Amino acid sequence: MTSVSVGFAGLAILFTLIGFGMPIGFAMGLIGFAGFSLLVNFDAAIVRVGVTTFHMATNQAMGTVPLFLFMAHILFAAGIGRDLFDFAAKWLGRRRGGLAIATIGASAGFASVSASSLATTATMGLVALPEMRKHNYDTAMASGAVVAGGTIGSLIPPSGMFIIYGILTETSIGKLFAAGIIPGILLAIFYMIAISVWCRINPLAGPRGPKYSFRDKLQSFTKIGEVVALFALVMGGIIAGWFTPTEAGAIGAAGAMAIAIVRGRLSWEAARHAIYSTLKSTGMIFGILFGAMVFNSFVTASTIPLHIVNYVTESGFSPMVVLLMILAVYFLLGMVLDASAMMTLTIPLFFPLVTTLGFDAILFGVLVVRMTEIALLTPPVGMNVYVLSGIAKDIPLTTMFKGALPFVGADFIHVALLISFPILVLWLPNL
Amino acid sequence: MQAIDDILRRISDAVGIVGVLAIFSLMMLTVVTVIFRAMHIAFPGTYSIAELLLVPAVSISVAYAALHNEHTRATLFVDNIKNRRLRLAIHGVMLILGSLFWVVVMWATVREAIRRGAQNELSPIINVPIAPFRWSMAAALALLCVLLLWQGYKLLRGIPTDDEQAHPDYTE
Repeated sequence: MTSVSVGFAGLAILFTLIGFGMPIGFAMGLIGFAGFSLLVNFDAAIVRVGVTTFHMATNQAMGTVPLFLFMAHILFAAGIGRDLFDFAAKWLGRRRGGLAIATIGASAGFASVSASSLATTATMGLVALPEMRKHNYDTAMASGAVVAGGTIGSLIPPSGMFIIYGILTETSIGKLFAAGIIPGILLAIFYMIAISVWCRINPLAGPRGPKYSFRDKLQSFTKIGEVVALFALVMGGIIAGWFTPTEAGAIGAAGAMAIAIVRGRLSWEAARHAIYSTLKSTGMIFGILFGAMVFNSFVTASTIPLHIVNYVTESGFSPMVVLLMILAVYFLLGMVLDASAMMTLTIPLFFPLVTTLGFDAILFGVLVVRMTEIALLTPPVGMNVYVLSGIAKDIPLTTMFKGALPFVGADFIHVALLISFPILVLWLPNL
Repeated sequence: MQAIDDILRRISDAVGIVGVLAIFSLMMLTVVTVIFRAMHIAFPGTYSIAELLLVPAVSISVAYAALHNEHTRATLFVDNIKNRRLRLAIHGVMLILGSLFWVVVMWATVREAIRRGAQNELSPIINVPIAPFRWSMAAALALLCVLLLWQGYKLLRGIPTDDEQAHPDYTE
């Protein structure tokens, strides 16, 4: 058996195990170890596993994972999501579809302190969805705005997906964070336009919300001022080179604790819940990362990435066509796989090809994260939709998926824009 | 069976406290380092301490996530199996098979701990022995393997895990 055949056989077994419900990181680790043993030898595989895993567990850059998660969990426990929605609703709610637009704005704001799309969706599902329903919004539009708004969570830093991508490809996490800001803001604008168009077609889908005085509007800002300052400090610090992403995570977590304590919103129970949730989420991410690193070694030893590169360069496809084909693969995989699994499984295969074709690693990272986020909205896996359906049990899944459709359309236009104008992604990290 | 469940939960909770303390200490240490650096006061070796703190934080978190059944699974196909007993049995088999990977990681960690321990491996600048951290990682991985094997055994006997969800519940 050639190394490539072993590689493909390994991939086939891996997908079978994942299909049968084996935790994805465990399956990648198991197949990675078995495959590496076959291709090299058992002793080398053991040494490789020991060195790789301990190196990962002691790599200072890995500190970004628990620290940013802690910051997000603390602010989540402190109810910052409600304040952000309150602020956005007061400023934007009076327009047609204004509460849905406010949901997108608040999601973008919450994304700036949360590392996860699912957390953003859950928060807005609890806060914004009942408000929109109270004001007779079309349930498809209301749920669509919540699930779509959630996807901004992985684009605006801090982002768990960028951290995973940075670790897997050894790309600067700080630069990835910076790269996500402009596309994240653009995406929020695209979603707002989608809502406005929807309301123009069907004005009853998003009735006008209540009117607030200018004084009320100004007062709502006082509740989010500290969070805006914290985001500016954390991201500004990374971009300006004052501190590393790990240090930014620590500053963010400590700042989040200070904000929550000063506001009197951090009970002992809430703090306890936040840090144990951090421990669980950290374990979940490292469960995948340990497996992915071992799997990476196997994929490299199988020489599959080299063969893909050779095949593609000999076939004469233009780099752009190859990139579009890869993004199409992500779209299809997203229908059956979870975002982090999709990324950890495919990056070892596609990353060498994409960089060989001359694409920037940071641009590719942003595009991959975008595609994995679109997968959160599309059936049958669409995790954001499932998270929301756990909160709003009376809204049928079909209504939610239908509501997400116009936003998926906006997503594709957004991805096309990023591919056409890479400067939108690369300007900030290259400052 | 309940007694074993209780013992494992108590051990995991106790170990969880160590993990929580490690994350909290990592945060405090990093913040203090940044603040003092801004005041042009340097503490050599804080990076080394942070790296060592990550060992319990990471390895314990993986075991703790397993206790709460938080490791990401794709359940699209298995959820369609109508027979509940069969579904649980497949989940159990997958956990037991998956635990083999962690047995390998634990074994590899123990081998490295013995080999590097014999060489008196020290962390840079602060000269702290690394062996205890390697052994602590091996211990957390041993706990992880026991948890997975126990959960797998229970599932094979038709007893569901405490939390049958594939993803963390952010709505708690």
